[in-house]
Amino acid sequence: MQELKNFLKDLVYTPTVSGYEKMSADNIIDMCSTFSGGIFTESYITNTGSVVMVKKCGKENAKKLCFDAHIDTIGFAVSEVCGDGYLRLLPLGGIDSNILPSSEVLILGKKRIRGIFSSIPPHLSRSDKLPEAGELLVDTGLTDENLREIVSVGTPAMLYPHFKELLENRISSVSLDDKICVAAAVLAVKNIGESLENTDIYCYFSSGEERGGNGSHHIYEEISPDALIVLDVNFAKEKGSMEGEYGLLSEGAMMSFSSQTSIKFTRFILECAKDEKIQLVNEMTWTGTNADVSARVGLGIPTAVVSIPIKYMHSSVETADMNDVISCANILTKTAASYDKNPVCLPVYFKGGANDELK
Amino acid sequence: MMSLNRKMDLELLEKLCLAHGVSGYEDEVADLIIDTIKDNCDTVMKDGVGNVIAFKKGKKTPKEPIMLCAHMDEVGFSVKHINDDGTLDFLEVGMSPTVLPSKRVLVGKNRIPGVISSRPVHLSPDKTHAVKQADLVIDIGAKDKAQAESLGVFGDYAAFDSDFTLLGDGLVKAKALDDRIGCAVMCMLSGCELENDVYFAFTVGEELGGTGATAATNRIKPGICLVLEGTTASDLYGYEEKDKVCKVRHGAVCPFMDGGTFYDNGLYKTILDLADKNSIKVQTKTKVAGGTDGARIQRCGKGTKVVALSLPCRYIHTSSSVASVEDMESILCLSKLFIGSI
Repeated sequence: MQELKNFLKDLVYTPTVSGYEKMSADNIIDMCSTFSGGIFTESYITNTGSVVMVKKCGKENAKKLCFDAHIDTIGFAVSEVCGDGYLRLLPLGGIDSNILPSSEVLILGKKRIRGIFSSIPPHLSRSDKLPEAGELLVDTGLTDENLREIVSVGTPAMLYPHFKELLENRISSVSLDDKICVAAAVLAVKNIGESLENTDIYCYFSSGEERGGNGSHHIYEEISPDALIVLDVNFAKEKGSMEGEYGLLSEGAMMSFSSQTSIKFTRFILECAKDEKIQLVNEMTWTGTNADVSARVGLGIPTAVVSIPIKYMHSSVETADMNDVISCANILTKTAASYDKNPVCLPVYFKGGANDELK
Repeated sequence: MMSLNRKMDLELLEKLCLAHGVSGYEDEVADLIIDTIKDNCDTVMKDGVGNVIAFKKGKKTPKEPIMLCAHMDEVGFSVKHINDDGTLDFLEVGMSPTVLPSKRVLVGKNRIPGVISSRPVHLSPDKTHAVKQADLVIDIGAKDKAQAESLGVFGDYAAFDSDFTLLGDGLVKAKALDDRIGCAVMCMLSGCELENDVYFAFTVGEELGGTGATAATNRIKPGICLVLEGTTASDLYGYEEKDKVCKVRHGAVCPFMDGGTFYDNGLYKTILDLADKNSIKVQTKTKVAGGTDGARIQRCGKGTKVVALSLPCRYIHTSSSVASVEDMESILCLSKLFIGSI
């Protein structure tokens, strides 16, 4: 458990702001390789900054089962270097301005420097109006001259990383969306080890999910998986949540029903992992994940969504339970074992064959 | 047009309309289609995302491969949460909440009968206020949460429970005419001798903006695509002519443009000429609205020339769509002629 926590901590401390993933893609590959005990047989970085890590089974023309977890996180880019050591930041991905005043950021310039989102002292402010993120200035404490040496327009920034262990194996950190699923995927591949005979496992740590799924559009060209499990975080019940809307923390990973995903593949996974604690959610139309794209690329990828419940999504205190990470990895491990023997959702020919008119 | 002697197979259309195929759950419709076309086509397959794709050899092979496309999915519901009193919270795809209260539905493969709730008018605080979907539930009569859970309804789909019937003079009322009419026409064409080789794509997820269309198009790589669809007819009594979009009994609808697609000018003209020469009724849409799988198909590969023939349907995306048999026959005849004209 501690090893897994440390791995996750390393991941969240590695900056991969949406659109700037390449900055740390090599580090991500190193961390995943090390944690998995060198199980991956191949890894590379795509043109748009996604990380692909493969565990081949050794058989030619093996089936390809793919786990997608997005490597990018919400963050910021510098839009203006103002006077007096202040910066203006543009949010990348959905960020609630409520969390910003007095929050700390890490600015990823030539050097890594700290910054603090300004706030107006309560003594001076009578307004309860929420400022827009672009109105808030970030104080770097540097002189203009030094600041311009380090930072320019377009420099990325992230919420200042931290990783706190709470009670009962619960943790709180930045960027659990979606690094926690990267950790689950690598743990699953580690568990799977050398056990598969007919299936290659592809981990697609995709870029750009927070900005509309940049990486997910190339997944067919890059990998052309036979089946895909999209791993993402999902909402856990918080104060004020409606009953039945969301999952619960610590009650296991979640699985989504949605018209965007394959109901057949979803039920297959549920059957494979029937001994695991799984929470079901119904999202009907859109899942809000890379799965909304994957049926629509190439020859279509049968897709299911497995998610880890977290609280306070897109904040600097995203909170999750490590047991749910293990539950998620177990689901993937069991699914891979069954898929290896009995792959589902492959094209079926009722008449004629793949060598005829329809390949 | 009757010179072509193509009568609409209403029995087939009835079977297709009564089958359930809410977006994401198209298997029942797919199986029915596979059964119907298997003996007529040379290749029949189902791809990984659930599209049914078939190839039928014609008298000759056209320079540009021809694809016909109709979607299998229909608007409907799925069960989101089971309440303590055994009622079901639900989500919908493709509908306005105003058409939901007090309709009958069937839940899941086992077709458990249910009804969508309706607040007694006596208790409505504001009688002019349109209902919100979140305030409605599906009631299957379960006595409590446990009983509903034991039926495995969570996450399952629900479709309208609505019969297929002739209505008035030459009209039909059914659920899912959008787009079982396209499926029915393609099934019928698969049984005809065709002038050219044709690929048929029965797609999934059109009501969600075309989940399956890209995969089908990338597999077939067509040069030309004819989309067969159901479309909105707003030809209600008292409506101004300009707001009607298209009209029931006025023939197949051949749009020049809609919310998602620029239809190919040349093919659009081909359809109008064919209709004119063969005295088949055709009309266009008077509003640039709505969308079809054409939007996706057009953007695949090197781009596809797309044209559409749509059935004008009143009350589309409800339990009771209404359309004319004569309009269906216009689509059937024009589709067959179109295949021959390439």
